[in-house]
Amino acid sequence: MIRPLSTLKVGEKGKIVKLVGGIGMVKRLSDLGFVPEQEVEVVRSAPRGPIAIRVKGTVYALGRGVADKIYVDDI
Amino acid sequence: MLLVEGLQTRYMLTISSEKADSHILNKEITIALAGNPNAGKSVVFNQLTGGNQIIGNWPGKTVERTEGWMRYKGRRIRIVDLPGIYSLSTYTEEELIAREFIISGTPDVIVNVIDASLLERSLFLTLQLLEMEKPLVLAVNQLDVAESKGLKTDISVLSKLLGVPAVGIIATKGTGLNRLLTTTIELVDKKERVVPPTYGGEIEQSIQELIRLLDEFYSEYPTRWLAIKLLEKDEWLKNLNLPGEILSQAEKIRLELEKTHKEPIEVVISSERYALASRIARSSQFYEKKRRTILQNLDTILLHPVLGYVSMLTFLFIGFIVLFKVGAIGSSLLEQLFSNLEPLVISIPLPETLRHLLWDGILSGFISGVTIALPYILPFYIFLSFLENSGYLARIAFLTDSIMHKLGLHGKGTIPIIMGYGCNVPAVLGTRILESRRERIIASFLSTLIPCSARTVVILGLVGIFLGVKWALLIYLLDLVIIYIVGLFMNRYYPGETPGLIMEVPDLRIPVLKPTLRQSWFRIKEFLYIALPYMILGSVALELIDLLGWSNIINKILSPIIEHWLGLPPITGMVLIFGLLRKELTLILLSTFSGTTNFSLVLNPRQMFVFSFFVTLYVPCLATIVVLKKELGNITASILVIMEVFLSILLAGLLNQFWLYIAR
Repeated sequence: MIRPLSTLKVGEKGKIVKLVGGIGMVKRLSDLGFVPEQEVEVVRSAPRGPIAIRVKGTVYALGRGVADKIYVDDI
Repeated sequence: MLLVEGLQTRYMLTISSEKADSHILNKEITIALAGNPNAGKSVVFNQLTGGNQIIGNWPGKTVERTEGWMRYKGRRIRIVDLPGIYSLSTYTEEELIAREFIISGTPDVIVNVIDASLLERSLFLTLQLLEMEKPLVLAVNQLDVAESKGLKTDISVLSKLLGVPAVGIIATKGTGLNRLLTTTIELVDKKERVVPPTYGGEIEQSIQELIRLLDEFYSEYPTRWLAIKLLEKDEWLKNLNLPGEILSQAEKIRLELEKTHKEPIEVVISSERYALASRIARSSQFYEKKRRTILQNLDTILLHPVLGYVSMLTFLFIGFIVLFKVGAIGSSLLEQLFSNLEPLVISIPLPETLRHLLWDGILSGFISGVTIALPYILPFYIFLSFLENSGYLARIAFLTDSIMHKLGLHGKGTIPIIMGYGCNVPAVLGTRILESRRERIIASFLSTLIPCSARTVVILGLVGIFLGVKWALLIYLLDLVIIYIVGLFMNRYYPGETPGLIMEVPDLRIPVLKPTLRQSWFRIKEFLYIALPYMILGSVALELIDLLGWSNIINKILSPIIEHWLGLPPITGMVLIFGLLRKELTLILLSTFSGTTNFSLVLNPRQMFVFSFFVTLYVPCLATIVVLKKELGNITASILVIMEVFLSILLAGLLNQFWLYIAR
């Protein structure tokens, strides 16, 4: 099921299918490894706050607004 | 020293002229250190250059530039520490600076410091560096950390796959640095051509097509690199005046790629670079076992939705209390030390007026600068470096992101605000980590409302001693509430949006002592350099005002505000003017003007509270105003200062009226 990354729970994994949003943000995210086909895992989630995502061994904090714009599918 | 070096060089040139390459051996070598943030670049830099460093800014930019020197086998080596970056796509100012410096041709060689425990992401940057076809040495750092995560790295395979020399190092322990230097200098002397990486499928085909198109076009830059930039539609190409035909052909090729991949070109190319980085990483690194370390378990608590906040508040609270205790002890020691100077200065045969200017003006300005900087601000910087280098600062930013969003900032905005408790000058400088001007303005304004060490001296010395610690804490609490409300307003009425947080949360680690201390030392030097001249200047100006007998006039002019609205005794008018220049002085001056250190004789509890509250808010000190102007421009800085004056008069007055009303 394709859904925004922000809806995943802690410990859940997904595969990126699409980045939406401004080109600046998309470019920055793709530079960090948020590219299609990439597997991601939610490490932490602060209620209504940012979520921490593991990508290629690194953890990034993404604001909820940012995580809303990354679409993932089940692995 | 420099002269001797020059002579030596010339001498060596004449005596060994038959050795053709002796002048090459004497040529200065410039190494550019490039790598991701947190890869350990700064540790490598510090280990190599020791104390020989210059910290400044990149010309016309607000990004810090660090440069150092060393000698290796008689050769002078200049090392430029480029800003930490993830990519060279020029999304950020740091990336732009790094790329321009490399492509300008200044560095003879790039040393790319990578974190072995994050190989794939590090190689993403490495590939882009190789595209620029400059000699490159890969410094594979943090092998120990990688190993503790169960990652075994085969450096020779890595070197073979990338086609560049690679050296394994553990920078924090100094392991492998000698070999890194030898390899780097050998590479410079060899002058081999660098082979850029080849990508796959349609992307490589497109690059080849573009290379053919560019065949006729001459430029000083590598053709393949230009072809990739064309494909990426890089802004920088505008400088080159490429023929329209090439540009339109490139556009066609790009659109085709976007159509096939159904993604914008930036994503297509990033995916391709990551695919290659991933292949190289998988062939050169093996995953053996995994066990959770103590630090990983600690992280679960530190980022916990409830325990995370509890531990953060406890930690910061205890940290600040310890810092202020240390500061109080340190400054009283220093004051005793300096007070021995006074009889010496007074014994100098000088006219009375000049002696006043020298002691009460210049020297006391210097002394109070130093007695704030060393005991209060230096330990604060060490604490901050510790937070930063341990990775905890990123966790604070994570935890505070949602509350900061209400104030028009994201989590990273907490960092300058915390810095403000030490000193507002570095806090304003620290707003540079934020992406937009809007955020920098909001964060600068909010951090100048934070009571710095100097204001803490006033709050604790007056309210803390005469009314009790609880009342002093109330001022801090009120201050935070005011900052929150001001932030809400600024976010509401200042046009623009808050960009979302995208920030690496590095693994927790135990910071290495030496670089942490060195970093703090450089920061305190920067502080002294910026703030001290203004403290001395301010103190001389104030002494002049006093000598000219203007104090009474000033007190009279200010009396409607000071006496009627704020309910303070008239002498505080002059004291508060002094405070504009140096806030910690307000307490000393209050005792000078009133002739007692028992402030309870001059001020009643209400006045003490209102006075301290007002001092906390009213205007940032002169040094902070200067930095605000430098960072934000004259107009914005003036608006912020004027807003702050109004805000403080309004709120302190309301507080006074409210207190009077309650007491009635």
